[in-house]
Amino acid sequence: MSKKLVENISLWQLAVLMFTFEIGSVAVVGVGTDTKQDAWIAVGVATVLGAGLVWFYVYLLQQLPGRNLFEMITFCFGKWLGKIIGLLYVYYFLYISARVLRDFCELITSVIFESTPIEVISITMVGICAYMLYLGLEVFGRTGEVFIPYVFTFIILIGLAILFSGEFELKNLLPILGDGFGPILKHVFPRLLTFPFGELVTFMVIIPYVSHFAKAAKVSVFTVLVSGFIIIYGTLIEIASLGARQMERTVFPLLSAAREISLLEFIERVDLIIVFVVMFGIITKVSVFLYGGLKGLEHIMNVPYRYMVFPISMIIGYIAIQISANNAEHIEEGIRFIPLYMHIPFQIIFPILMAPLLIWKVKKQKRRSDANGSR
Amino acid sequence: MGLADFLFNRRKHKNNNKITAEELFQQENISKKYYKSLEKNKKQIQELFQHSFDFTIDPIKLGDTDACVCYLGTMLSKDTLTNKVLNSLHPHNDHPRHKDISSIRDNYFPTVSYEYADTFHKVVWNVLNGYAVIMVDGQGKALSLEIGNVEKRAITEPSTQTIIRGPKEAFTEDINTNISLIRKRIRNPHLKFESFYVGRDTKTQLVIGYMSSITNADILEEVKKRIEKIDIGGVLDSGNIEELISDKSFTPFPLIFNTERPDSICGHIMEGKVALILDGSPFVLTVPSVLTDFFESSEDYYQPFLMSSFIRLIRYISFMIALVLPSLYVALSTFHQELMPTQLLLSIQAQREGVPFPAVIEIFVMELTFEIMREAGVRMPRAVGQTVSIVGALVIGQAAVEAGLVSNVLVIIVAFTAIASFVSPIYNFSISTRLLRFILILFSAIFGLYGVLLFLIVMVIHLVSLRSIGIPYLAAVAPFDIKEQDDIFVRFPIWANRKRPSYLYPESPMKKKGKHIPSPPPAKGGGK
Amino acid sequence: MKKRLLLLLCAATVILTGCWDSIELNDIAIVTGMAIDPGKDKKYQLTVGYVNPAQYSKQNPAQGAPVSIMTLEGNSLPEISAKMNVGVSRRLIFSHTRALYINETVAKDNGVSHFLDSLERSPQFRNDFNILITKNHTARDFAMINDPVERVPSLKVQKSIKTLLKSWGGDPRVRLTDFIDAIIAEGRSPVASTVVIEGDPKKGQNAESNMEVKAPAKIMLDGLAVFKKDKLIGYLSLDDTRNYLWTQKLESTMISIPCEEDQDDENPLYFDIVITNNKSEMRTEYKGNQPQLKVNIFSEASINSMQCQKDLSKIATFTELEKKSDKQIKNMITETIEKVQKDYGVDIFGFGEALNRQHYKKAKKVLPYWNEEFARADVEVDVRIALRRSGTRSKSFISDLPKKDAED
Repeated sequence: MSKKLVENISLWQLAVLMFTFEIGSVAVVGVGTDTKQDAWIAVGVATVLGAGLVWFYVYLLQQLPGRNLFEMITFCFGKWLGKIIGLLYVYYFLYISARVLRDFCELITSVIFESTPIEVISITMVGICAYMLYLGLEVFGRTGEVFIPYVFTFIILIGLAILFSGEFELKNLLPILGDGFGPILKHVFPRLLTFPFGELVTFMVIIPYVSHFAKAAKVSVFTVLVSGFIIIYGTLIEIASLGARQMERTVFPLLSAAREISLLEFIERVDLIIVFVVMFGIITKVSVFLYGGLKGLEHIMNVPYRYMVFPISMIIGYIAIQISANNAEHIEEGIRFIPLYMHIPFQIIFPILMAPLLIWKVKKQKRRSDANGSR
Repeated sequence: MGLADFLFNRRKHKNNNKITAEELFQQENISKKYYKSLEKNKKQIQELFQHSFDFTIDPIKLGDTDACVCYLGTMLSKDTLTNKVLNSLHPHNDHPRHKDISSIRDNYFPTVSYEYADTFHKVVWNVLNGYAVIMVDGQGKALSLEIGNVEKRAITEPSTQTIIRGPKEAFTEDINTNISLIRKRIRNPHLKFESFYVGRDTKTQLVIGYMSSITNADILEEVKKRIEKIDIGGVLDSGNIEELISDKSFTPFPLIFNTERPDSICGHIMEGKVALILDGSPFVLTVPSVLTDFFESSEDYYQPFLMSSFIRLIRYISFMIALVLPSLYVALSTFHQELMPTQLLLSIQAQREGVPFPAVIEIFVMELTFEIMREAGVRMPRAVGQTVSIVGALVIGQAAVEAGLVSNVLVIIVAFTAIASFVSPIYNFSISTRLLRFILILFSAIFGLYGVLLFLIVMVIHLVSLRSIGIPYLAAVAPFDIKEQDDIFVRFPIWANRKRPSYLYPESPMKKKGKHIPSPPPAKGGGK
Repeated sequence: MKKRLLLLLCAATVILTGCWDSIELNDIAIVTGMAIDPGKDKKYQLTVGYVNPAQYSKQNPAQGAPVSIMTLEGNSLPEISAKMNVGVSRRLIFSHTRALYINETVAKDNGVSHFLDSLERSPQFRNDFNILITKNHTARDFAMINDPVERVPSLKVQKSIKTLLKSWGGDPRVRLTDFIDAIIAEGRSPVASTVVIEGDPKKGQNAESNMEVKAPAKIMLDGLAVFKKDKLIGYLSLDDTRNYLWTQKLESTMISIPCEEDQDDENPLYFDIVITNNKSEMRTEYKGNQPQLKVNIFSEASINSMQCQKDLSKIATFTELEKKSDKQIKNMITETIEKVQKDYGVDIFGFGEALNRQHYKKAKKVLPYWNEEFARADVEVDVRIALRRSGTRSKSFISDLPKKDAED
């Protein structure tokens, strides 16, 4: 119908986006490799904590239905302070989206295209994201819907294929918890909690546009649990097929694991399927962060974000390359610097600071409107 | 039984308060009586057939009694009507006043075969069946006269959408014939035909047909609005209309479904779509269309459901093959040699030995050659067309391989791609794959498999952004609706498919109310 | 319109400058085998064998050599392979390498880790080629031996190993990643297959050698090479290899067992069993300060031939034969393990890893000097063979022969 184009996504679309977002870069770089054969336990612990974190995010959003993160910040901190904090968030979102993009560029240039300039990869990828966001959140959600069956079945199939290739050595999982829970907890906080799960803070910009907002909390928590389950599955595949020692050394564990597949003498060398899964995951992830940043800019500058999609995305394509000089710097920053100075403040500290302020202000507003109503 | 029960039971409870279109028909007509008063009868029949341009009601006089004759102009021959009915009513033929309807018949129409209609339901039914119904004031019955059918161009078999099982009729260039072909299949007063005239100079008749009890009013409104907006000198074929009313022109995908099969159009109308029939064009359009419509042949519903589900899957697969196979070849052979099994790589390399062109050029040239041959085959006089194109392909293909200009594998790929592209039941959808294929080859030549994926993702993004009369083009897949999956990639048995597509927002969502599952009669004696 | 034009221009720049990584099939040479020898002047001498595609064509197979080789010297593998084009017209593609021959002197003197790193790092190399240690001849010779059945020699070697593994088991099933994993592991030492040339390698290089019924030279599998870290320290025979594999993961094997323990040497009698299903488990424990290595083996088998005069339709016979096979196999495996303990003192079986899995706390202490612990450990092998069936005959016709021998 010729209804006005409302930017709404369904609950299912939200779940799909969250799911691909979660497994996107996890499929590239792998998680929990420091905890060796107990990585999957670490992921499991992080999943439960992550689900709690997401519930907290949605809880905040429920205090002010229909408003996104940036509008909420302005509501809490007033116009000017709100704008500054909003700008910080914009910076954070855009920076992370550039980092995610860089992850993928590294994968492509070191595995598939050795002589193709990294700029080309980065610009084509971010170009797709920009095109998609230009067409709107609805198109984004639907694109996710089209691809989710493939992403999901491929991930499951890779595991089964490794199993049937006889490369699946459950022995590699032993000893379970050899060093106790200590190292796991150390790894879960801050790295594992913030890397795949805490990043969902970006969805605070998207969740308000879900058509059945009331159910959003349940759906998001459920999605996080399901995606955590799939990440555990992926990690199990990696550990069992590569062994803990090798997993620690490879830059792209899932890809290396897929290289072990050999079925019927014909189905082998299927690692490009991984690249596909990864590619769509990365597009989702970059787009979500980009959308978060753009929505922030829209709120701050009062200009529809569509005007800014292409310029900003091209800048991100460029930043992704300039962000670090080499792969080692990129990874080192990701391990040392980012979780501490970016993830924790933006994912945990700010929201927690905001929570009491928000609740207090909402109550005040309600009281005032009640008073008005009774008068 | 168990599984089907489980799957479909829930739905039944949900929609208990809704009624099917057929019930609507029954309720409205049977309850209404045939009155003695002509005015009352006239009024109710006019109400029922409003928005149908082919319904005519002519006042006549039988002696000094008021009467009227009503009929559907598209369903009977007007010549015969004039000769047999209207002429015999000529005032010169002076007849005495008549007491009852049978004496009217005896006096005026002694040679015409007839039927009496004593309920209003029957009157409507007879009108729909192509009778001329004479209603006389003061009589408790109407007289239905059977007039012969319209003289028309012989209806032929469809030439572009042939099927093995199912009706072998096709639309013709005559709009009245086309409408009667539809009316013949859907005998329902809710089937409306509204007439428009488009083209400033040509004044071509454009008729929209729809079920008023099913089609969503908003969709109908939008279609009418778009037709009214058409401002053009001349319209010669429904293809012109298609371009003028579709939501987006810059897309390789057809946004409006067209067919020359009346049964297929009827199926669409019954789902709640709107058919657009242009005078002078044997291709009838339906809107809104979704991508999956282009993978459905009407034969799917005439063959056993397992069979047609399988064939439908084959269609989707062959669509993918037609789209990506040549580019996959380019990507694998020039970028990702490591992805091929060793033996396969060795034999492909051995065959390419001595071929002087890069793989991209090779495949481009061969695809182009094939397209030229295909076009030539269509345009050539029919007698030589098919043979020449096939022989040409064989000769050129074989000679090129023997001369060492192209490799064997490539000929296989081009041929297979071409065959796969013919599988699509709707011709203009296969055109879109042909176009996209060339772009895809280009992408794969630049970026290898990464380029193929890049292009496919862009294509999907483009597809989900498309709309046909406001309905998402990928409806039922994205936005995903689990309840619609009974007739998308596979077809469930007809008894299980009880709902009209929800993305069309039909006024009456259920196709049928009861849940009847065919099963053998309960066994006697044994068992319990 | 202007915007569209701009977009088009941007796209054109990408498209027109594209194709960085593309290479036509006509411009590549598919390497199937690599051989590493010690260099005369430099560190290594690398030989690559690449397929000559014209010879592989179905339509007009030419009578030339199916594979060509190229040899160069240099200090590292990537350097040499990049330089190969001094003599080769096409770019070498290594992703289909099927066999890596390593000269035993290289493995003994320099160790293998220096070039294995470059193989592991490169995205071109897959994890599906066999690492083979060459004995007696230079590795270069191995890359050149023709085979009449399989046109590409390295493919022949790989296929033969694969088939042998299925029927008898004589290859440790070691790939690049496993090998490297074993080098860095504390509880396991790496092994690799060895190959030898039987016949005259000079004659085997000619394409005409394929015309002869009896090939003048053949590449044959010859057991295991044992490594300490990345250096070769010794060999095991083919039988030992099978026994080694039995403790790891044996698909299937055939073994002949004497009917009586102390039979006369003139006319020994045997029965054969084929192992169809095999499960082995390693356990490492400490009794006080003494390490105990335990291998539990459970195998399903069926009888394939019978030279003894036993009635196979009786339960008792089955039980008796089972006991005999248990004992024989137990002895074989124990012998192999003890041989490794005594001769080489390195844990190629992975007992250390088993300890790590089972007793993590203890393993943490002893793993740094595990090889010494391994050498002094007690070995206990427990074999249980379950004979399931005896082919399509129950009683052997031999048992119906007039029992002349028995009467004598």
